[in-house]
Amino acid sequence: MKTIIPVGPYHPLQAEPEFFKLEVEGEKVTGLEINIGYNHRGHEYLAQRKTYEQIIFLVERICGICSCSHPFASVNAVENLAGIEIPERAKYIRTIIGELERLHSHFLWVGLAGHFMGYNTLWMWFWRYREPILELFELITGNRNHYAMMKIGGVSKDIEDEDISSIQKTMNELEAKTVMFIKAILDDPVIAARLGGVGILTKEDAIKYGVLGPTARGSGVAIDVRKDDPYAAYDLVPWDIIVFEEGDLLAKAKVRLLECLESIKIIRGCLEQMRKGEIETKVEDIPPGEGIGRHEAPRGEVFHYVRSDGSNMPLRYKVRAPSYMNVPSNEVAVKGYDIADAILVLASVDPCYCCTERMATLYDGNKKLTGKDLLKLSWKKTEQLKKKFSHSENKLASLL
Amino acid sequence: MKKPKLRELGEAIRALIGGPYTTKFPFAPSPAAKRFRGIMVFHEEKCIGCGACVEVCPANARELIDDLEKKTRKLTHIQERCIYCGQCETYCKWEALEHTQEYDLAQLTKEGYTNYIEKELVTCELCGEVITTKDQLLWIAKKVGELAYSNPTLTLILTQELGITEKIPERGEFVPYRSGHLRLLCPKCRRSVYLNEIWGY
Repeated sequence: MKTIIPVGPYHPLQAEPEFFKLEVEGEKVTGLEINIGYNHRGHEYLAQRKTYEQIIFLVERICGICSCSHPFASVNAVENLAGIEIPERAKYIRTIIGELERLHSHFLWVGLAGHFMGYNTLWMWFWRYREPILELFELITGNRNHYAMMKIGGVSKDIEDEDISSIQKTMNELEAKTVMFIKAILDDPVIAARLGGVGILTKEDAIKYGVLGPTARGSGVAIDVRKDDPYAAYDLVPWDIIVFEEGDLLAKAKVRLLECLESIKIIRGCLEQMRKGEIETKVEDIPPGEGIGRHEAPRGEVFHYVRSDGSNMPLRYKVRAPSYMNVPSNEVAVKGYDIADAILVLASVDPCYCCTERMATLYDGNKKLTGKDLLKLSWKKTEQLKKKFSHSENKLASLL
Repeated sequence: MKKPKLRELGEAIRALIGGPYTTKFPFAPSPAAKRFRGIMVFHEEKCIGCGACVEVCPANARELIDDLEKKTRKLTHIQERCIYCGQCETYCKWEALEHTQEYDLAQLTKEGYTNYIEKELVTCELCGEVITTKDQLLWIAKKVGELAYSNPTLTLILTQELGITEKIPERGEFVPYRSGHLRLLCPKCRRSVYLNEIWGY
């Protein structure tokens, strides 16, 4: 017998609105229907009414966790459009900020994964060591989140010499801790049993669904914008892509954990190679044309498209976040596993719904509903339900 | 199985000795970093009222309202709309805006969230349009040096500020002749006043 279990619109685990319809037979999941669109904020429309400098701060607020990846892709897009070459020091600073963000985002995910598994110690551990990264952000950029660091033609703030030593100190501490965590997670038999062989996304499916970032790299697809189409300083410092072939949850966790070490490597490389100099080039004006910008966010590739008519506002602005590609792959990854595992599989792609939702379809778009109308609709539906379940109404009436 | 657990035990002991990692914020001060962008303050004496901050603000947290009756320009900073991006601070050439290290915004009343400054406005004597604030005209006069004396608007403002004339004399009906060009005029009216001489009235 087929049963449908609704998950959401308020997710039982994450504080973001999305709606999954799990079709189950007994304990086994046989199908999944994904419904998103509860969090549409009209960012693209807003972006078309702001200047290029203001857009950076708008797109920064698309996502709270990876609040540097959208501005990064945005400045890449505008620089691609206008053909701006940025100074070398700005490249290194951008890379450092991007990698620090990947570190704190992966720490957050692994911590949350521990929380979902019921391993709360892991959660507390990771979030405890995520804190120094956020403090580092406050020291360098002036804010724990929403750094306001990106600027068309460079970066808005320089990293000062006295901050470099504190970055290096934090990185040394963090590396020791990350190595310990990796060992602790990989040795743990409970984690291995809970994550190993669960939610397998095969390489074929990964390519078919076009998944990105750690989700793809966990399934043996070696794609990474930082290597495939280098920007900023990613081609100037040595680092490796982490790829695992298994495609299960453990592989995705391993990819993220080992990427933390790679991030530390990139940051160290940047700090070593960084020389004193200019941090921004002067931008004269934006010519008419089209530009694309990409950035490997912690969740995968962020893609921004901008079309200009030569004025200071874009004609069209398009944002595609990695979760848009990753979330549909849950359809195949979740099939055949238990309900308890399904929750972990849904969270394994590190979904970010506020990043994803760029479009909402309105049925009967001309109709405007006020609060009163909505109340009336609600009453109407209650009446309908009452008629449908009239026996329960009688029961209620007798109780009251 | 047993050996790896020692590692976690070490971490547990460290946590036990070290005490809680969290800060005791409401009971003990937790100062923000030097570069932290907190509550914004105005330095009224430095501000010239040019309105550059209003132009660059991505969140419409700043408002510029010209009051033609009172002849004042009101620059408002609406704290609850502010996204603390620091754009206005970056673009203010006169360092009249500053993010402080204060981050505790919680309070019971809405008072004090919206702070503003008022600047004296100079209007055109002919059409009544806004020229700009008095402070900005003085700044321009200072910047261009003696060249300021080639522009009657700047000269009038400057002589008044230097105490040479107490008040700009009020004249009756204004006829846009060249003879009456020593007035406070907006660039558009000044052009027409000079051109009227050539083209006729």
